[in-house]
Amino acid sequence: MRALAAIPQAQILLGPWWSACSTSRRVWPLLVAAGWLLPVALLAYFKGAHAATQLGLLIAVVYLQMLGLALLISLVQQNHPHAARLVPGHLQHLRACAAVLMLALAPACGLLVGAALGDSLVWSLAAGGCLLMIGVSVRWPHTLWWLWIVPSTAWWWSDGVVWGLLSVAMRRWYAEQPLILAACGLLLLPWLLSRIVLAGGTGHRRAQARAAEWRRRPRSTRWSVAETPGAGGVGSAFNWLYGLWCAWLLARARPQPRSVLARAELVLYGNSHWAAHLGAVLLVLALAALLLVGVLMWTPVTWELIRSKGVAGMTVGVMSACFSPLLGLPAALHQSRREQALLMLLPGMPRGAALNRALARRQLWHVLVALLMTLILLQLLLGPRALENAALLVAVGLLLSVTLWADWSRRGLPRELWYVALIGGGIALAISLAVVLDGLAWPRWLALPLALPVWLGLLRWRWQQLQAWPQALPVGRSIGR
Amino acid sequence: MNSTTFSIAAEAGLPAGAAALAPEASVALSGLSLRYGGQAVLSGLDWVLQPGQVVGLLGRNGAGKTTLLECLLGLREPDAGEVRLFGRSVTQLDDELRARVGYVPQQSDLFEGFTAGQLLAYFRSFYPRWNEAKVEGLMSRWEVPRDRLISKLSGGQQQRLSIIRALAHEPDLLVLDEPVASLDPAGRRDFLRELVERVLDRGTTVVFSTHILSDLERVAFNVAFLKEGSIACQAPLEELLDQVRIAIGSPAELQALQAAHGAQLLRRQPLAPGREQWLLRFARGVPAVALLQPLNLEDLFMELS
Repeated sequence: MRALAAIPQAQILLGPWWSACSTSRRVWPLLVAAGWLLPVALLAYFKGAHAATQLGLLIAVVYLQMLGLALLISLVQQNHPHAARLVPGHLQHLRACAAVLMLALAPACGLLVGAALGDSLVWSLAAGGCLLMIGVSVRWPHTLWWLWIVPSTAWWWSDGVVWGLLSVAMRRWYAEQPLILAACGLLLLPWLLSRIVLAGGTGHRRAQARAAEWRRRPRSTRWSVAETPGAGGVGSAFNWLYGLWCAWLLARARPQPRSVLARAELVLYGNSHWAAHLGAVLLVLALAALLLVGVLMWTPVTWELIRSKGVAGMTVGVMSACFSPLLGLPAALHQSRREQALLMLLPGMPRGAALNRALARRQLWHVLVALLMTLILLQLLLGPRALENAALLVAVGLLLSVTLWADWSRRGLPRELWYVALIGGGIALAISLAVVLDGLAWPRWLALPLALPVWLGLLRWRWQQLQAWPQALPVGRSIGR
Repeated sequence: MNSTTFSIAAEAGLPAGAAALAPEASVALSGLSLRYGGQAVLSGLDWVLQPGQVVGLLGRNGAGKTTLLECLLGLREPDAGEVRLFGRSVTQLDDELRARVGYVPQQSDLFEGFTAGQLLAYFRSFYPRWNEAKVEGLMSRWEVPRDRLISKLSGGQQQRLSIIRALAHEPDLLVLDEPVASLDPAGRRDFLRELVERVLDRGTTVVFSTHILSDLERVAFNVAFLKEGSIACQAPLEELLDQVRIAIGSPAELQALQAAHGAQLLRRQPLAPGREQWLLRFARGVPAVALLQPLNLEDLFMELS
């Protein structure tokens, strides 16, 4: 290990692992990985070894891509503008690591998918392209919008002439000269990925600052009352409901705990407040509806076509919008921890176990309403056939909502790994439930009534615990004690 | 060379652990202990603040000033000990008591999504008493624009706004954690003038931590030194400057000096074999002895914190 530490590239690539000093932080990824054995095992039982192997291979590919994401984040973090200019060899080592990453991960992913589905070379190139997109979005996070828009509008441009010609040309190249294509990929993709490591200077500093602002902003409580209509900026348009709700609460302020907590929540959750979420979702839906009306009126595209080709996109969009409270509340509570000291001194603010109970009740309502919105929106957009899977995912959301009832006095800012565990664990659970229900030939919506008693049992257990926990606010004050 | 500091509760004249015997005190802390991991931040701290007292809390970086102030307000639970505000336990802080407390935290960049006006409207909705005229006066005198986002205000303006917010409900106990750190000299002078003119007239108890010793000299009538988890010394500033001296000599010489004048030993530090430096407080007047050296506030800070 000491010999390995002396190699600069090993220092760069293994830095995140070594910096995860506590054993628990090193164990977590392994536990998450082990959690995925459940759906694989269930699939092996119900559908046989072949299906289980295929799922196992695909899961391994997802993990390799996530490993790539973690390493690319680390590379970009280490690529400081000062170090790029002043530390001898630093830039070259970082770029070499990026290139090696591409050369190792893309073929590995390609071979794994190829073993399940065939065409290893195509999958290697696709995995390389995916890794490149991940790298670009890590370096320039604002490009995420464009990287998301291109595949989500594939239903529209994939039928066009340009894509048709390009697609035919690529297929012909692959069929006639696969080795030349592989060689081009081998040279081009590593070089492109190494370019996310910048060489210092003004452009690098600007990119660094912009990325820092981009990452900070969604988690900050800054989008709030001030950015109401009339205050200007994009945030003000999305926060229209938050501003109205705030004005309504202040106009009807009472010294009762309910009114006090409702006003305190405005600061506690900031961007993740239910009114901010709902306002943003309604605005996006209104804009989408306008766009849709235009498309349906002035193009030959029909609603049936959009619905049939956009099932996956719309489901992912609705799910991510409605699951965001579950993911956003812990970070929002951490962000507002300094303000919480002042909130706790306000007349009317509950304390101790009373605060824990009130906070837990409101968080639960928050999640329940979001999950209900998921069902309603998917029903409206995709019709009753979408309810099968939506009910399954809502069942998983219910079970995961128990994580919000935590000892907040000891919770810090959720790390990336927490999100990976929550989302990865949620998907693993959803697949497991689907496999079991399909195996038993039961409808998938049964997951919801089946999950309810488990959820109620978990809630009861956490409810008893949270009454004995220290006062929830200010969040994280007992870390290290 | 280990030094020894002796705790005294000079101003209140209370023996250690007697905080509970002061029911009329604005603040009474007794036996307060708190550890982070293996490190003791507060160890058996006793402290009493009488109504109308203005106390500057001094301590080195990491001494635990913020932790102490947070424990005092019930924002942090100690491992042991008790905190009483106006005779009532801080763990049972009711609404009436909370309306009597004002707090200016160390960070001024809070509530960044609000404008200054929205922040004040937000806080006004919670308090039964709110002096709007005072708020208006201070906002205009300290030039804090109402309609600008707090994130767009300068550090000094944010700090001023934080102070205005804390003063607006006219608290009986004002706790300020390094309140003037972000202010320029003119801002500090204005703030201190306001503190003296407006707050002291009402008999408000004020405790504030600071590193800026010149400000302390301007406004604090009492200073408290936090060292090794307890209040090493609390006394009126003028009195300390008049009565405390450094003496260097052999232990026998110093003991004789202390005994002859009834001096209180605040700190002793060995310098070399047979030679020590003692910090002595002469409550009955400083004798004209050659081995005594006077101290200024900075010297006191260095010796007692």
